[in-house]
Parts: sequence; structure tokens; C-alpha cells
Amino acid sequence: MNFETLKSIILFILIMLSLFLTVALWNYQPSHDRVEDDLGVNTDVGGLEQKMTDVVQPSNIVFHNIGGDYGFKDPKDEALFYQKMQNWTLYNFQPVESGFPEGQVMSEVVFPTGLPISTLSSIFTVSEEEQEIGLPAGNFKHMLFVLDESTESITEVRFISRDGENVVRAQIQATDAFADLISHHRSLENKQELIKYENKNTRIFIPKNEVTMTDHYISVDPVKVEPLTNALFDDVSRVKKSKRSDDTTSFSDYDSEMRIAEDGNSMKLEKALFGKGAILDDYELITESLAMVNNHKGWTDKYHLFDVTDYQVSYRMIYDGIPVLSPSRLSEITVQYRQEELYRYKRPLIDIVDVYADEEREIVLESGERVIDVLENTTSINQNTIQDISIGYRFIPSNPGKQNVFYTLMPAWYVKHNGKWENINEKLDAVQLSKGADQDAMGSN
Amino acid sequence: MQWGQIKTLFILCFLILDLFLLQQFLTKTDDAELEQLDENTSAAEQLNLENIDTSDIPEEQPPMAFINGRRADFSEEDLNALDAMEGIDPSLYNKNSLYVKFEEPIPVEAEDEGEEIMDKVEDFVLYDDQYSYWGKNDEHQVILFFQKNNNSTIYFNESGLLMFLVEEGEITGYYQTRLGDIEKESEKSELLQPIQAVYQLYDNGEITSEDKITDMVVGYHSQIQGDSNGIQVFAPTWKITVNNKDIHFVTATTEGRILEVNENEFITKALETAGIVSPQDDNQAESVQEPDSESAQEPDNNE
Repeated sequence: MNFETLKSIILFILIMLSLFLTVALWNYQPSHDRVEDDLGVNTDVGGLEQKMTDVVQPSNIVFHNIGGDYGFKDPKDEALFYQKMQNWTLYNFQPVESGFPEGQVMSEVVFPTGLPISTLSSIFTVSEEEQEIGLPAGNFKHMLFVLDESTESITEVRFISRDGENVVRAQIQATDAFADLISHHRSLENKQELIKYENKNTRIFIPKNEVTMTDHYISVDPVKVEPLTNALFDDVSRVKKSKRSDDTTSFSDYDSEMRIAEDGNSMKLEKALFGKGAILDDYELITESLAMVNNHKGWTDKYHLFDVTDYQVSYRMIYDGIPVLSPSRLSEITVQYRQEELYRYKRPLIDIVDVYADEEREIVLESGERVIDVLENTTSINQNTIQDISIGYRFIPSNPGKQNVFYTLMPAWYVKHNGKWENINEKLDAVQLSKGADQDAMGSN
Repeated sequence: MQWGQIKTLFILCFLILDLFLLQQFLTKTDDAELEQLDENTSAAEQLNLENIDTSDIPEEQPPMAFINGRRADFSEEDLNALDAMEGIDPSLYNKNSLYVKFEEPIPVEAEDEGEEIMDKVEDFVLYDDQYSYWGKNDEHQVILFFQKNNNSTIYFNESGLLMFLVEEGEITGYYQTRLGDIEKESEKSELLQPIQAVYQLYDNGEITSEDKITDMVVGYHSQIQGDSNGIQVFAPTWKITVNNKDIHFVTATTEGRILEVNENEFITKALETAGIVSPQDDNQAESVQEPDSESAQEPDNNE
């Protein structure tokens, strides 16, 4: 009896021990291996993930006819047509002599910034053999389809850099490509006439006549800060929050600092890391920055790739196909790298949620002809520094100086010079007055 | 009777099972240790191959906690204590930056280091035991002391700095800031082992063959010094001295990043925030100070 009890006790102990060892075995993790710790932490700021094709979009599609240049009136038509183009297969790439072809029937796709040729395989269809050989090096901002009406074919596609120096040509394989393009050249009812502005660095097409647009009354939601800090700091438990003397809120650990503007509408992250490593090329900059923002689902509105310079990639907020160009802190996501490391990340912390359509008013913008005329006569802007001219929106807070939920998106003319977009509506108004007087004087002569 | 036999059988089965599980568990722990050991040996081998002398580095570094703190204000008592000291002329900015001018400059010998310097001035300095000697900078004519926390130095931080201003071999005054409310994180972090930190230097070309690691200690550093109001987070950081002259900093976090610390830039910036222009440009030195004719003329007299 006693012996049996003892056996029972031993059996019980052994069963317990086996259970304990099993659990210990399952749970044992080497102590230095804690990378997986942050699984389950919320890093979703509530936006979308985007692919290269989503963010690389043309700023303009121009149809060059012998009689003039035309573009789509509605940016939506343009986006649809561009989507179609992306299915056309490109092959037989080769570098050719520089310069823009002139005096031919051509369709031109203009991108907001120079892109490395290597992005083509991500944004267009490139034949498999070609991808194996590898695309030629170089950079393009303009993509031109040269059309030959007598043979009803596309002679070639040219990829031309911003300054026209770097040109790569390719062939196109798509049965309906020519028909699609030429139909747009011939049917002009959804088009508007464009006018060319050119200096030694750039070539721009803008609407020749007055443009009628509407403003938009919108409301925004704040982007959540917590998932953002979770995503951007190595270890959030270590991050300290404090108020700075300039009223910005700072989140920092030993090598990174994220500052939230006083009104909570924008943020800036800076990492003080001195990474030594390979320098990223433009293509890698784009893919890396996309991945970084995707990581926390940071595309809270529509953004297009707008600039790649100095290891910095900028994405602009797009509303209804039109970029929002000021103020930058509310409309631009910029990501800057030092060597391979993320160095700076600036972004708005607002997300457009509602649009009040009945508040819209019609706004008539000056003709492109006048814009160019005024620019050529404005001494404060050096002609050669002009990089781009565009219609864009401006965020106007309904309650200046305070925390805002309501904004008006007001269309206006913008000029990009020295890397900055400047609203030139005031310049246009100012010149209008003096110009009017001038013209009177001229008239009397 | 039968139940007794079944029990015996079960006891045997579970005994075997437990032995097996125990053996599994032990190999698993061993593997993990070996893995880390492997990393260390391969780094050591690589350094050996290049004839980099690592004989003086510490063997192993136990986990250490991150700390955080913010610039502290000097209290009423501090000010009273300063007022009680004779022969100094203190001025305080933003309650947290102290500038003290000695009415009678204190000579220091050229070969004086750390302790000897502090011995001469400690009667005129508050919290002198909380700072450790860093070095002299001849270019800017200053002597630097950095604040310590539990015997670990907080390197190059403008909020934990004691900087003596030297002119013609005499200390004319000092500038002092203090970190306060220093909190230790509750959880200690696994640190980068010494050999790995040295390997980082080698891997990044900061040290080459035939170099010798002459000193290696762990302290704290923050790369985000931000605003004087903000809380700073300090990471354990290796200070590695090579050939008794070059000093490198490597964060002791598991990534082991090499920091670029520039002493001259640091001093220039500290002098600027302190509102003191380097004594070399002596004439401007007084103009920054509050008009205080008597002490302001001291530097001139010494020339």
C-alpha cells in the first residue's frame, strides 16, 4: 500500500516534469534573438500601399499635330489613356543622338521629374528578352511616340532626358497602339490647345487659353501619430515625448527625432545615423522610399512621384488629377537618404476625408499665353531657373493660425524654380494692372 | 495488482521521455550560446588575421539599461552655495546654464590632467564629483569634463558639460550644465560585445592592420540633443581608444553603429550656446557678458 502510494507520487512528478520540460522547450528563445518581439504592434497609419505604377504618373500628355499641340482637358481622361499605354510592349532599346524630334506628328508623355530608364520595366511592359539584357543607363522625363501616318505605324518611341541630352529609342509592339494614338490626335473635342515654354533646361506644355476650374471645400482627418512612431523607431518603449520651446512636440530616442508641428498637421523625422555603405541610385531611392512608406501604409491620400534629387524623393498630393502645390508641408511627402540609411522623412499628417461639392465655385485661371508673357517680363524670376509651370491647388485653412479641419483647395498657377513651387497668381494680378496701362499706351501709339 | 504494474510501466515511460526532453532542452540552450560564441570567434579570428591587437579589451559586457534625462535647473540652494564661494562671479542663463568667472585666474601646469586640475578648482565648482575628465582642447583653449551617471560617462552632451576656459595657462572661468531627473530604463538591453564593436571599426575601415586597441570602456551618448527643454535618451556606447590616440565611439546597441563625434565642432557649438566666444577672440569675450567692468577686464590685464 505504501509502496503503491509512493509509485503514484513518482508517476505524478514525472508527468509534471514532462509537461514542464515540453513547455520550456517550446518557449525557449535565445535571449539575443528578440527581433520578432514587435510583431502585433500597430504600424498602420490608415492609408494605402502603393506600387511604382501608382505613384509614377505623367504630369501631361501632349499630342503634337502639324497645326498645334493639344492635351486632355480632363485629367481623368489622361490617366485612363496612360493606363492603356502601360500595356504596350517595348523592346529593342538603344541609345541614339540627342535632341527632341521636331515637325512630326508625335504623342508625348511628360513626367514630373526625370526618371531612370530602369524604372521602365516597372511602369511599362518591357519584353522579357529586353529585361534579361538589361535596359540602357540614363534618365528620361519625356516619352515620345513618333507616328508615321503614311504607313499607319509608330516609327519609334524616344525616351528623352529633361535637357534633351540623353536619348534612348525603343520599338513598340501593340496592335492597337497607333490607332489609339492617332484617334486622339484627330478627335479634339475633349482636348485643349497647349502652348510650349522652353528654356535650356526644360520644355513645358501648358494650356494656351484660360482654364475654368472649381475650388473644393474639404475636411481633413488627422493621421494617427502612434502607429507612425511604432513604425519609425527601433524600440518605441524607449521613445520619450517632450514639448520643445518652439511649441513643436518631439518624440525622440538616442538617434532619431520626430517632430510634430505646433498645429499637428505635419511631421519631420530625422535620424542622426552615420551609415557607411553604398550610395543609393535614383531607382533604389524610389523603391526604398516606396517600401518605407508602404511599411506603415502611409499613402493617406493620392500622391505622385514629383522629384528625385540629392538622395531625396518627393511625392506630391494629387487631388482630382491636379497636384496640390502649397504649402509643401501639407502636401508633400519627402524621403531623404544618407548612404543606404533613411535620413529624413517629412510628411503631412492630414488625410482628406470629405468634400462638400455644393460649396464649389468656378475659378477662371489666366491663359497660359499670359502666364508665359508675364514670366518673361518678371525680373524676379530668372528664366533659366524655371523648371516647371503648372496649375496646382493651394490649401487655404478656413481658420488661419488655428488647428484646422476645413480647408479650401484653391486652383492657381505655379512656377517651379530653384526646386520650389511658387504661386504666381499675385504676380499675374500685379502685372495685369501695369500691363493694362502699357497696352493702352501702346494702343494709342 | 495490475494497476501497480501499469504504474511501474508508466513510470518507466515517463522517465525515458523526461530524459529525452531534458537532453533536447540542453542542446537547444547550448546551440544558442555556441551561436553567439561563434560570432565572437569569427570576429576575433578576422581581427587576429589583420594583426589588430585586442588583448586589452574587456572580455564580456553584461546587459545595461538605457537612461534618459533632461537638462536640470540650478536650484536656490545651488545658487546660495555659489554665492558663498569667494572669488567667483557667477551668472545663470535660462536657470540651467551656469557661467562662472574667476576673479583670480587659477594657473594650471601644462602637464596637469584630470584629478590635478579638478583639485585646484573644486572649491569653486558645484557637483564637481559628478563630472569626469575628458581632456584639453588647445585649439579652443578649454578643458572638458563630462557628466557621469553611475560611473559611466555621458560623452559629448551639451547638457552635461563642465568646460573650463583657459587663457595663458590659467583657468579664467567655466561653463556648466547638468543633466537631471536621470531615469534608468527598467529593462536592461543586451549589448554589443566588445569584440564585435572592435570588428565594426575594422569593417568600416576605421582601424587597419597592426593597430592596437589600448582602451575600451562603455559610457553613454545621445545623438539627439535637440532642445534644452526636451528629454534625451542615452544609449550605452563604447568608447574605443586606438593606439593611445584615436578615439572612436560605437553604439553598444546590437546594431553597433559608429558615431562621428567632432570635438572641435562640439566645443564651438557649446561655446556658442553658452554665449561665450572663444577666449582667443578675447575682445569679444566681454561684450557677450553682462557689463561687469571689473571682472571683464581681467583677461586684458593678463596679456
